[in-house]
Amino acid sequence: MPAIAGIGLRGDHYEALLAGDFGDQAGPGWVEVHSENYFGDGGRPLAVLDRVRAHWPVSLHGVGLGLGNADGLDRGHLARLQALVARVEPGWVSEHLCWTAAGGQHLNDLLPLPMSEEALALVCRHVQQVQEALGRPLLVENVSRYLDFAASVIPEGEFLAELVARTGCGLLLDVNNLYVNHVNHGDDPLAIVAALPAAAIGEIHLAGHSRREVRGQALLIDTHDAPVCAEVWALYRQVLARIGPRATLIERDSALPPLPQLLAEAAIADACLGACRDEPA
Amino acid sequence: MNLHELQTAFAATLRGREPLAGLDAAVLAGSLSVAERLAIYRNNHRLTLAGALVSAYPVLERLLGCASFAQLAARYVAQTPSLCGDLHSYGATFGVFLDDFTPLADWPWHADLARLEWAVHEAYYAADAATVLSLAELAALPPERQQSLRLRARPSLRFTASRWPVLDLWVANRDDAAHAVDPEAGGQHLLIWRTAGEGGDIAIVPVTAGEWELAAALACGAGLDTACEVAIAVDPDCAPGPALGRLLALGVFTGIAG
Repeated sequence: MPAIAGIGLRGDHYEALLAGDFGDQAGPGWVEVHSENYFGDGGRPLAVLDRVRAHWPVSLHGVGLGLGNADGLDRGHLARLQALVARVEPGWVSEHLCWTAAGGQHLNDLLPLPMSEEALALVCRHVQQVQEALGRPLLVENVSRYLDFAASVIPEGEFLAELVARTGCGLLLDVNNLYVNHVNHGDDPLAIVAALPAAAIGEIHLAGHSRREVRGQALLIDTHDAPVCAEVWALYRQVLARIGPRATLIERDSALPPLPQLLAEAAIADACLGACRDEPA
Repeated sequence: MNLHELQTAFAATLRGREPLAGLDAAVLAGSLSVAERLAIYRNNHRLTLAGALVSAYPVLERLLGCASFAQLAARYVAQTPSLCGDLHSYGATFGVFLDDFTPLADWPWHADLARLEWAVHEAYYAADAATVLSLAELAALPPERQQSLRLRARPSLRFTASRWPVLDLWVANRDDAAHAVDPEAGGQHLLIWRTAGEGGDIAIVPVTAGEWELAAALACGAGLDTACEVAIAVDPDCAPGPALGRLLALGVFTGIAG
């Protein structure tokens, strides 16, 4: 994927995107979609995706495979992904460092894993399985979390770096998730980034979150329903200064604004990427 | 606790079966209690599944109102786990759930309206088919072949039959300009499909009981002669020739299967 800004495409923006209804903004540099939204056999979603694909680079972002599922990967899910990848020929295919199902029941959420040797070995096995099935490298994304496990003994950055070393996968760095975990758990975002092999980071995600107060304690929830906040933009610039420009996605899943507003956020990311190119690290 | 045990316990708390399931030792509390932390995930899980129902049943949500639908969705979510990583497949049994939902017993058409919405939902994601079988194509075949002929139904074709006017209720509540429909106005047999062409549009068409049975039998793979017998058995007024002609004109068959 080119190191420019793209947007996450959701159904409500299909018509505006295909009509070129960008307001006073430039069109997106590229487009990312949730893989599972195109798991159907046919119909409008796939027809739209084919047309989008003819105009823009597309990446596929999975939310339901569950690389960390102790019960193993759902082969039907993987087969659907495989068929979609063959049809779309995306720039990137990404999944999350999380688990999603147990005992045949899907929780349909990006649930955190303990940062343990056991989890690392399991995720490595599943990443290899997916990469073999797809015949291409996968990007694995760091997630937000609202709890820590006693069994977590490996710092997240080292966990991801080891995953890259053992499987040859790439990374999708979600800067908002770094920030959410910083506020919720005191994680040091730049220490995590410093531990990552910069060359393996293929893509960056930027998103908004919501803030809750629980007994006077600020808690951030990764809701993707708001613009990217100032702190996340600042962290993004620091990340770029360290790793260099990367394909960057503005990710919004609910409370969708009109398309030009999303594109205005993408333009900010493009300006950051431009500034980063002018002043290489 | 190994990873499998951890995830099994976590899933049990998210599904509300056990409040902690032994996770108090596996999860660090910190500024919030373990129960409070798990509650965040439980809440997310419930909202996600309820959101999937809103996406699949928009007309029912408008008919019942957001608050009532949310209560109904919460009850359904509590007793119905998701079995797939693709949320679009969640909610298939909502109609069956409504059949047995006593608070709505005096408004029994809601369950059939749910079945209609699920049929629309399935048709939206079903496989494409560019071709439409025409009456002329069929008529060109020698009569002896026509008798046992089997047709290929459009992959998106779905069937809903109700004692209530569910299509009228669907139309009346599809947008915000809801208008009154008399639920006692009579039942409807409906065919639901997505039209040929790029993406396609959803079609919902009321047909006679005979046409509906004929289409259903043909879609199940019955030969033309058998399907006609089934249609007449159910609906003695059904004239198979015109009924088949209407189905072909609607474009619900894509070709000849053999």
